Amino acid sequence: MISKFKDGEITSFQSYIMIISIMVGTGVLGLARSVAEIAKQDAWISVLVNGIGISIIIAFTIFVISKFPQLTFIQYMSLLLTKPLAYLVVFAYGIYAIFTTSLIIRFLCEMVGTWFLPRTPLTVISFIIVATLVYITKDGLTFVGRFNEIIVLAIIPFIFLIFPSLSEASLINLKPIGDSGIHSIIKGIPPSFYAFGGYEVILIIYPFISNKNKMNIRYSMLAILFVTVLYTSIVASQIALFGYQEITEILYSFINYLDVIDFPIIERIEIFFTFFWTFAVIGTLSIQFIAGCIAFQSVFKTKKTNTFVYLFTPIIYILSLLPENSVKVAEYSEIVGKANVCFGIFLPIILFIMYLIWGRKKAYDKTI
Amino acid sequence: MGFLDGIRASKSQSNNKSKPPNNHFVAKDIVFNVDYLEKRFSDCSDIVFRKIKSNHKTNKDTIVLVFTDGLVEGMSINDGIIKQINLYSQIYNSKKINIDLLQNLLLVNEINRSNNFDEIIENILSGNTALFLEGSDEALILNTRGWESRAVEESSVESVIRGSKDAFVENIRTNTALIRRKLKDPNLKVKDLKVGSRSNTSIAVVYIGDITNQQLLNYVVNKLEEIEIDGIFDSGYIEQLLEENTYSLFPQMQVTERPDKVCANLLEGRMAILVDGSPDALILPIGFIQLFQSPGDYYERLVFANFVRLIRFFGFIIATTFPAIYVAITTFHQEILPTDFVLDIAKSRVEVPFPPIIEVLLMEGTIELLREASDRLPIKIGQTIGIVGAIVIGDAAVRANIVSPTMVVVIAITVIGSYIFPHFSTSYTMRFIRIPMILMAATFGAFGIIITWTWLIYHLCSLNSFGFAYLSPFAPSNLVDMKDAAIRAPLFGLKTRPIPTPKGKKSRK
Repeated sequence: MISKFKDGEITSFQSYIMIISIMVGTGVLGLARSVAEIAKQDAWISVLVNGIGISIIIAFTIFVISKFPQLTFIQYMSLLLTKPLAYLVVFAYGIYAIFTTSLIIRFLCEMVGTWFLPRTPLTVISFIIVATLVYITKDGLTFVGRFNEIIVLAIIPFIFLIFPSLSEASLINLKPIGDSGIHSIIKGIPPSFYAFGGYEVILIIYPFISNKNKMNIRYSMLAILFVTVLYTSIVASQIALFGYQEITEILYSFINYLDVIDFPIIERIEIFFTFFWTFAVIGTLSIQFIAGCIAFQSVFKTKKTNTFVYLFTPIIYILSLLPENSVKVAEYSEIVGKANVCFGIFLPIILFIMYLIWGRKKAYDKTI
Repeated sequence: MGFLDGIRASKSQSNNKSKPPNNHFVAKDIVFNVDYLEKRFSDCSDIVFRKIKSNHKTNKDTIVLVFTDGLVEGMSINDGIIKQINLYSQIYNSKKINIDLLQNLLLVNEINRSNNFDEIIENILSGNTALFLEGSDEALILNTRGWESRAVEESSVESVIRGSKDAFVENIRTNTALIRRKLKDPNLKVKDLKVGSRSNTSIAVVYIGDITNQQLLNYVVNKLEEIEIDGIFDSGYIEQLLEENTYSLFPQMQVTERPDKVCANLLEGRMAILVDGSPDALILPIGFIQLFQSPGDYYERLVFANFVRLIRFFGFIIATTFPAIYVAITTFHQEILPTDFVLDIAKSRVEVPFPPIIEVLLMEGTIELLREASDRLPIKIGQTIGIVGAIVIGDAAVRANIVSPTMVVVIAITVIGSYIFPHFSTSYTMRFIRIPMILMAATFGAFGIIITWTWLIYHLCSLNSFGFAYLSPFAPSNLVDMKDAAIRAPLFGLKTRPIPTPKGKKSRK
């Protein structure tokens, strides 16, 4: 067969890329501020601890799912959680994914409105983003996977843009290390969680991997650790530059961080950054949206994913326009952040416990 | 995509339509045969019936040669056929000639027999000579092909600095010979097909038997056989009839004039389609990355070859996006540039009455007009047009305050950028993408460019060339094949074939 991957299948490599791509997105902009408010100069430790914790969670998640390699999302959930509960959880995940998608669209609209098109109405920007999103997701997961393999390259400028401003930073702002205390470091974890959100998509996409192997766990952990290192260095460099008192006054610290140094030719580097950041967010959106559609598809057992892609198009468009202002957007994203904790932390833990209780026997039965 | 479905569909179709049996066969009576052919070839002044009396006693025409004037080599008919028959009949006057004897007698390199008139007519029209003999119900088909054709010349649209200079010509046999000259391997297969109900054009599918994906080969051959059209005059017909995504901007087959390029691709496990009468061969399946590769990349030394390749990628970005960036910056994001620079641009635009988008579209329109005009005109006048265009665009337009000097620079760089591709056809794609990109940039600024690029990238991701992912080896990514993509590894490192091959043939030995 010359075309190896079709009918919604993805490769292992694409799954790692999708984990990175869905995580790096909207959260990166205000990450340093939200964590530094609580963990002060040790915010970067919170981020690091959080990332390591998440990579352990994803290891457990994949460990559980990999025991049911032939089953889809809803099937292994039904085995582990009983059928009604599984349908409820998957349905809830679908709704969560749709809400998250609309929220990210709204967030992206606001950023585009701020940096690129101050006079264009949000309805127009949102319409274009939704249209693009439908175009990307209409052909299913395979092509979303391929698309993200390319679009993830937009993260590379993030890495390079950390360095120039370092010349102005001083390590004194990070000292004394650990002085804010273990208590506040741990309290700093929940605010940073929003930036890490999205990796729970592995629950949905893992069954679609066509070449599952033992390395899945290791490389998925590496993908998360990559994001962790990226985030940690972003947070550490920003605190080193601004100091934690100052950073709490800045809404999107990453953007101001870039503005410190004058670049040749490109005067406003943050526009340059937003250019690539938008690509990264479109990548996030495409995965989040298709994951929601796949969740609904498995609940309602339709033949094609794109039925739901088209069905939800007007819904996400309207939802993205509902919040009246940026404050409301922030409020909603807190709610989404909490839902994210449910799906990202509690669900994997519950699945793992259920697997320990009765899943092993069922997995054994299934393999026979 | 839809790869197997296509094969299944084609099989069921070919079962339904089988050719009606033809009842016209060669008779023993030579008068009947000649009458029949004269009727079929009525008013065809270029068909020649040469009658020969092999037996002087009976004074009856016993042998008739039928051929097409202009498609045959006169010498071989005179010396190899007529002279031999006359000599024979003079020496053995009374001896009766039969067809087996003739076959041994004639000095022709390729002789076949046939009793089917349709087959005979097809052969006559493709330059062979048919020989009818009184008393025989079979005709001899003698290879006397020979017609005027262009000599093998240097490629004009795909020239390389280093490397062989020969290019394909219109004659399919010359072309297959050019390939065979470079690949002396019995596994190099040349499968002949006839397409076009009236033009009866010869098409050759060239591949290397043991490394080509058989499924793909069957699919392509089936699809070629399915083609229903009356005439094929260029490989462009085949390209358009074969491709799966007609409305895509990107070519799904590669067009080349160069035998060395075809051979290199054959060794990678791809196949080539040659069409009689067309100097362009088609290579399939291909990936996006191949549009950026030239045979010269492999002939030049590693570092410079890779440098040139990267320049081409740069050219791609420039050709598609540079005017759009100019429009976006001057319309929406003036603050992104240093103040002095912005002031300079603004100063140069003070006298220009149009917004940047009109400026760009005016210039683009003029450039496209010039290009089209210089294609149509004879070379000598074409140069004049070029000079007039250069003056009009470069100087007069600026002085008349229709466009700003900065704009001229932008467009000039863009135009140069769109012509650095190894094959000219690719530049159409680059030129075309530019226009929606400019329009989106004029409407939504940098955001418009982002969205257009997103569409473009997704389109490339979803595109397939005969089931082969277009953006491979980037998406789906494949580290092994990455070594001959954006840049290439040293030649000793290129040990695997980039496309799916039969088992055990992945490595190149």
